[in-house]
Amino acid sequence: MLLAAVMEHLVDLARGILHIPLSLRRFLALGLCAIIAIVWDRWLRRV
Amino acid sequence: MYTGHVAIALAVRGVRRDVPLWVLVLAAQAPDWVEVMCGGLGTRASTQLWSHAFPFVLIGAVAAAGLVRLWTRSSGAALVAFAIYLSHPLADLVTGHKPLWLGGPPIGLQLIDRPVPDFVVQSALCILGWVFYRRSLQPGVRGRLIAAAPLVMLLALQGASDLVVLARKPSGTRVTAKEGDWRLATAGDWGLGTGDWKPGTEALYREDGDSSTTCRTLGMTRAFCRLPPAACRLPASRPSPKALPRHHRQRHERPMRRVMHEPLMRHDERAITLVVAARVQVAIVLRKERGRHRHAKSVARLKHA
Repeated sequence: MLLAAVMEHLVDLARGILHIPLSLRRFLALGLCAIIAIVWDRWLRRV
Repeated sequence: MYTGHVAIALAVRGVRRDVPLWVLVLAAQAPDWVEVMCGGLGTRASTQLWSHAFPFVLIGAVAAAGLVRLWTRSSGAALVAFAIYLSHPLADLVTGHKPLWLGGPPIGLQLIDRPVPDFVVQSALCILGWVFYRRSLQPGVRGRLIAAAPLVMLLALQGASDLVVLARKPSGTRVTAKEGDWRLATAGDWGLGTGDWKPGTEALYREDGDSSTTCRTLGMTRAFCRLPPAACRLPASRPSPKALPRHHRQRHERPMRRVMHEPLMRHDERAITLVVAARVQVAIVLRKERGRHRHAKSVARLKHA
């Protein structure tokens, strides 16, 4: 029940993401993925 | 493929510690960045060709390798950048469905249309990449929970990406687009032509994101065709749709802006997928099917459209 509710909210969120123009969505997705990997890598090497 | 490319970069980072991760990530994602930039510049019709198909991808890989060679003065690092760049279109064969070479048919398993298998495959790749990457960390950091954080973030991003696909079009269901989802072709898009301008012959395209493209042909014989922008022009005999007041157009009379000038490549098939380089497939509606065994025939220049 809780999982279903969470899934419903997530799907709603995903539908909201769909309203972002495709090109911007792709740009953000690529950038976010790259930034996470790069920043985290730099941070891990400083620790 | 989405996070899978970053996973490949992470794995290589675990093996080649002299190349910074950002170089590897950029090289792994480069074709997608090229595609995004080409799309932003308005060349949507051929973005996937420019970005993901040979020989263009080879040119990009050589350029990337050259830059890395100049910067690091290491032929090994340049070779790594070259290989990672080229890995992109090959990895996309698993999840995507696009032409691998200029003029070639779109190929690929198109897992991206099926969120669950896509998530499984890309997550497995992320875990594998992280296992290799983890070896490059200092022993004191490797065992800490925080070292797994990038992996968790990547999996979350992949999950979000697949969730968007799921929300957009549940797997195995037919697309039921709303009217607002459909667009007419514009310059640089995949164009479309109609057999005539009568009601029921409209064919609009809809961007479905990373994979599928939907067309509706309303029971017409159809074919998919790439329409180069150069082959597009407004028919002289009809006013521009922009010139018409909106209320003059009924829903079923939505006029087409572009007309296909060139005949189809083959005339012995009813449905031909020629090139699907963009994220869009466009229906070319030829004519009503008059007989069961009748095939759609080649359309002469300007005669039908």
